[in-house]
Amino acid sequence: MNYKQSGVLTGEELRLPDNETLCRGKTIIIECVENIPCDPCETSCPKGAITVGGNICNLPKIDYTKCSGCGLCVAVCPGLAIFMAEKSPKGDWAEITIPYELLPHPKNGERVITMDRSGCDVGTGEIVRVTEFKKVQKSRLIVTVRIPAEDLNMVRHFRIAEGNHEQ
Amino acid sequence: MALKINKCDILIIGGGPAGLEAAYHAAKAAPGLKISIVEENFLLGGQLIKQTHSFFGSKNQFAGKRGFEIAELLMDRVRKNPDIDIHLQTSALGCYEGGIVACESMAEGCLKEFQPGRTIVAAGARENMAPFPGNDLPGVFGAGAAQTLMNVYGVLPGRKVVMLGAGNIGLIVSYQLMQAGAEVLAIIEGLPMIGGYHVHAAKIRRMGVPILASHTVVRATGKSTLEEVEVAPIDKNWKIAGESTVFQADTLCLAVGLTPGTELLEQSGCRMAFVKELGGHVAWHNDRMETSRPEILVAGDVSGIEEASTAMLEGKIAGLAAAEGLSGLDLSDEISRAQQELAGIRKGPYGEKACLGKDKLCKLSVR
Repeated sequence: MNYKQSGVLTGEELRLPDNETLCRGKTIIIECVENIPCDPCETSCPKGAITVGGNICNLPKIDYTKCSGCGLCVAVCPGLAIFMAEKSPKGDWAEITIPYELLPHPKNGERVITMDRSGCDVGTGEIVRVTEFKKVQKSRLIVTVRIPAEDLNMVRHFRIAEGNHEQ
Repeated sequence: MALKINKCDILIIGGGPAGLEAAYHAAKAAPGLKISIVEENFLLGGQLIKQTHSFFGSKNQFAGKRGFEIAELLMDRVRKNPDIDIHLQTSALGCYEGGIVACESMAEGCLKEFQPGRTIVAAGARENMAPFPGNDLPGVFGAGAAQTLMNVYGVLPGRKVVMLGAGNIGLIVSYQLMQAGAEVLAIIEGLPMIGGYHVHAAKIRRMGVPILASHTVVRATGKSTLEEVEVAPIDKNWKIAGESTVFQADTLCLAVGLTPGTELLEQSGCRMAFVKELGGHVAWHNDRMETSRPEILVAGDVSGIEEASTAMLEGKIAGLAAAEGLSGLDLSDEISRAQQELAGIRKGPYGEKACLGKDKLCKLSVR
């Protein structure tokens, strides 16, 4: 089953960054595989690290040598298709940054259940950062979850475990 | 009923993205032209006011902004222009000889007669129905209607939802229902492929909502309101090809396409054509959005089903073309820039259908 049937990208369609890139620091992952007319990732990047080019339907390309890992594109992408990943150099933990538009708002330190691209549970994680780029996008949180390094390529969503959220 | 005669140069029927952009750009390009917008709803903005997702496109098309924010921007610039007057809760009833348009104002309880030099019909589209037993049960909604209830009126249509249709509307409304606290049990799609953007499908899939391609709703049942939705796999001839699954649901949303709302255009004698890529019958029009009747133009979904960004650009083109015809100004450069921008956002695979439809239309003769 391909992604047009399932709605889920698999290894073949994804060009995930290699281990070396991930261990170097915050790494943008763009899961945008269709030629839709859209370019806010390119126009918002303060470092000029993302290129769509003259044809607005081109797929965005990221230049990791220019990317500072600011996460603005994660907040800006209308398709919620940009994530940010980072692996500890020793490989004992990883962080995935996810655009999030649901209530209740997650809080720092909260334990969450991590989910993959098809909504299946992967494991658990801890919220380590919740930011908002209010100037570019209201009502969208940019949430960083610390997870086991081996879950990094799988986790793209999370839910707050029931009874775990303090109102 | 009292009759009020309204003088204007350009009458715009429909205050959605196409109509608002037509008004704004016509007024800007040819200052002094009197422009009227009639809108049957009590709010301007058309379907944009219920769009809570952020839009694609580029800066020119307000990319990244949420639909209702775009509606506010478009409304604001129209309201600020003293040459544009707005008639809310006013429905156009018919276009007659000499370009006379009769409207009924619910707000003022009167008939209004307009005698414009140009009329731009930007009346939008309506949701399609799907045929299955039980489709008239309370709890069965058009997906757009459910979205209006939820995002305009703040009323959640139900708690447990089945969505029929995995085009952009089905995917987006499913996501918004989940945001509003409903549970979407499944998205059912008759075609073997998801029709909407992958990014919309990905958002709802990672929340755990299944999308069942090559499936259909067999029937909806319930004592007085919807209780169960029976779903079955189908083959490529749309014949049932496997065992049914029954979902316990209080809401079934139908997102099975839109049909252009062309009654006024047909009634006014515009040449009509059936173009399936544009959603059915549409008025013949050229790339300046002019129909076979020289004083009538079209823009937005009424001229072929697409989305808000293309509707805005079609509105701009129609507004400029109407203003050019009445003012004698040469606006051809501005029109051609808008045409190029429109061609640009139709370039990807999702623009193919509209391009094909518009090309078919152009190949037909005017008469």
